[in-house]
Amino acid sequence: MTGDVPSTADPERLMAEIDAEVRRRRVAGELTPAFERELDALFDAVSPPGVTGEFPALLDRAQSAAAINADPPVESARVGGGAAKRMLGRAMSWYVGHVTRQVGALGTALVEALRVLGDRVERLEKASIGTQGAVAAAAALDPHVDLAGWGRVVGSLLERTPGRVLHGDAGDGSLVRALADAGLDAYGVEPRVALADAAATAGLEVREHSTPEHLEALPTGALGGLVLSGCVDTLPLAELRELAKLAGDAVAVGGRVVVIATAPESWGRGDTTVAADLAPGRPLHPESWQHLLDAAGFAESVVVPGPTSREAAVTGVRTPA
Amino acid sequence: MIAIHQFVPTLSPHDAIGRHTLQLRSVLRGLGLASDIFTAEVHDDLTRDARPYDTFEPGPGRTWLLYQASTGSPVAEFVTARPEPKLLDYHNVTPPAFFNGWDPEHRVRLSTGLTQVAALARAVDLAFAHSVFNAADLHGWGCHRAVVAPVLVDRAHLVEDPDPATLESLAGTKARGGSDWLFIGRLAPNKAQHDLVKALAAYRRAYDPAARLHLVGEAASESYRATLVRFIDAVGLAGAVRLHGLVSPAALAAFYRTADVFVCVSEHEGFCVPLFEAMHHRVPIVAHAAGAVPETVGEAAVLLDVKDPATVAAAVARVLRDGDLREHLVAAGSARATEFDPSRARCLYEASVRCLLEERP
Repeated sequence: MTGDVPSTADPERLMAEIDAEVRRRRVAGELTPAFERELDALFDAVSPPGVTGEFPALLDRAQSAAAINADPPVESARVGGGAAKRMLGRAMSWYVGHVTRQVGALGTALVEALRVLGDRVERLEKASIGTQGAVAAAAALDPHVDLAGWGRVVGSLLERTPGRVLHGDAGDGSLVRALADAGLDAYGVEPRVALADAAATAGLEVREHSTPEHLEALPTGALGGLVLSGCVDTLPLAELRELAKLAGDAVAVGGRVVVIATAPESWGRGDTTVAADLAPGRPLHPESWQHLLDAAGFAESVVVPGPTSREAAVTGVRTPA
Repeated sequence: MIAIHQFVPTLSPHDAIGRHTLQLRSVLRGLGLASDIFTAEVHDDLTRDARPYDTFEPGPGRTWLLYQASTGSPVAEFVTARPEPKLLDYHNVTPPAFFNGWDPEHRVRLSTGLTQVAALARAVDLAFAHSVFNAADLHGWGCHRAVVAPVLVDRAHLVEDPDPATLESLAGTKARGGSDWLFIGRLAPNKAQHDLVKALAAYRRAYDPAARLHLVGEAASESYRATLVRFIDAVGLAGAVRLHGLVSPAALAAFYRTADVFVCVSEHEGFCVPLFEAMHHRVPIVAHAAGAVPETVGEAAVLLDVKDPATVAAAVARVLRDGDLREHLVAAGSARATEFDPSRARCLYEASVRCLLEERP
């Protein structure tokens, strides 16, 4: 413990110390993200297919359940019980068999219909550019952009934020480090496993998670500040609208969002050519971001210059609903 | 004679709702009201305390029907269809989505329960909610009058003298070294016992290879229980994680007596009586801040916004290694537990019911 106030009486400090301990253990290689993924994978491996969403396995289970066994159990602890059950079973077999054949046929027909429907949905997913698969493919191709140069600009925008600062799509955590160095309680999420692992083992609080999913999981008003980058260039328009809404929910009143998006005119040059061509979405103009942020409950949104003359960000302050 | 009769899907001495219902009957009778319990299922030990719900016949005086809501039940349909004015006691209904893929029947039951309680909430003269978190549900359904009052805890259930055999067994294990984690609650996906197993795996790897996890409670979902057992085996923790099932109050006291820390990583709780019990028994708490958990524990827990195994493990390690923190949590827990003292809670219920009777004599 450090400082005058014991951390027992200061939950924020206690949590900061626990977070620091987690980072230390990650750096030491004791509690790595890979170990946690291994635990998740073990649990998924023993969970029912309906939990993990494995559609073919679910269909197989439904198919198997559709085959109804019409033979009744005949075991009995009572003398003569088994014989009586066998006799009753034989006597009713024509009736029970008639019903089970119809129910079984219905089950099989429904499973087959679901199988056809599943194939059609799968083809639709493959054809649609707005699916998560396409987003993930683009994210995998998207070269990591070092945003450490934004540290001073973003740090000054967020210096009076009323809580934790999240950097969505934090890459290797360079901006998280810069913000932490500036005294902010910053952490990040990054969907690319290798980058998230690299950041975590470097002692930075960067969790492997997609930005929209992480924002959705946060309680309302949980963040003092939010920096969005990366996915803001590649998500389809509908998901960008949703992202702005999620940002509005996650940022506390008085908190601030900063959107670092690529300028549309420079999108697709150099390293981003392939990612730009294959991305399901395109970067928005700053004016469009201002519009989206206004609609999501942010006010006073302005365009601020970035560390170079070719870069800019859009920022807004969360206001009461 | 004025009557407030209670209707509950199941009356059991082994769950908090059953004990609450019995305590509330005592409160209502103490106010001079006629009050009986009607149910669809009753535990063998309580057959004298309840009658089948479909045998209900109203008496000559003014009568309210109070429904104890926690899941889907034909009892709710029965109460809704009755002409008498109604009251609601809302214990929270677990969101059905938690049971997706685990237990389709239970999911449907919960889904039905939500529909039923939402319909009742709009029609009742008064509703009780056991947390502000629960009250928000009621307001969302259009309930115009919800009183937040804690669950009525049965003092007899808070046994101070632990069962000697259980205590001896637990103490014997403890003597071999290693810390004892405890969680009490039905085995259910929303209680996330699998995340506790992950956290224990992390804790044993980084801090204490001899640590154990005790899970007390019956299975809400057999599918989840079976998966949990497979998972414990797969992680190699068969000797370190023990599923004790439902235990007696005296055995429960033994678990609290020997626990080093109570760890809760539930994703959804409407109140969580075991948190209160842990505070009462002076066991420090590490908990995921989900649902009504922050309300229930106040400052008497290390509350985590995230529950990844590393963070839970680090928080538990901190509690077990930092004597000042542990003392602070235990003292804060004792103080918090007194706020849920049954006598205080009974006063709240009495005042609310008196108020109702004065308004609608």
